[in-house]
Amino acid sequence: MKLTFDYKIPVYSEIPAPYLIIILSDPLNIKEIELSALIDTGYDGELLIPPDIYDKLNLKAFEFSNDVVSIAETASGEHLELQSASGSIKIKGHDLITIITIDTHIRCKEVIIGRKFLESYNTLLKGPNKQVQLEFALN
Amino acid sequence: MSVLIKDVDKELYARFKAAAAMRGIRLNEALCKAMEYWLKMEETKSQDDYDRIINNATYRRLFPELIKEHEDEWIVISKGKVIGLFKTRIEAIKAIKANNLIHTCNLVTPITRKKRKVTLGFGRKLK
Repeated sequence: MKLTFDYKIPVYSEIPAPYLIIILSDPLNIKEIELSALIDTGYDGELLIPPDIYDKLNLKAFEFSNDVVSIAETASGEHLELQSASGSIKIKGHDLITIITIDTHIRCKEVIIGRKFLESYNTLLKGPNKQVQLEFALN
Repeated sequence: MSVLIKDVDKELYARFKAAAAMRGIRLNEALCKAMEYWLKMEETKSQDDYDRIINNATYRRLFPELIKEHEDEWIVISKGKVIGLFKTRIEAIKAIKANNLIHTCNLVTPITRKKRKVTLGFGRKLK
């Protein structure tokens, strides 16, 4: 199954970038929010979200220990303390719900999909069409 | 009133004194402002912040024992108390609902020595 999404303008750029539409919720699926998530292969986690979304989904009830959660490092060497929790995600247009680890940081302003999440999919960037195609890899 | 305070960090005190002098504020005034500021900060800490601290402290205290027999299992801690140990993440998550802990700040965390390493992209701006 293949899903196609249009590029959008990111928060911190003027150049259109690949986004997925996701339905994000707490791991018990009590509350859900539909969001556009920027695909960023420089982030090697699953999903990074702004703290206001973290709070809306009440992810504080499912947090990881500070001893398990890392201090994230940017490629330029900046260290950032993350808060992480379990949550669930599905891609709009597909019913598969996956439990993932969601990171947040006080200065994060954009929802970002990282490499670990994309490991389960074939992702094709159609630059000229400004579209991203996601293919579900069947195991 | 006069106060004598022992064991103050020498470097921190020097920086504080210099910062006060640069602003033309007497040291006692600067110290009072700092105390007021700190008290305000503490008062705005939420119940969630306290729960987070106490839950993590419990995890750390129990970790040496937990890692011996429960490595890679999951633990749920709420209000500093262990709710249970679970073989899988899903079981641990379900325990939150079963124990009516959905609105409190809890730890639902793997028992592991591994610390996650996360890299954010070059130039990732978290302004």
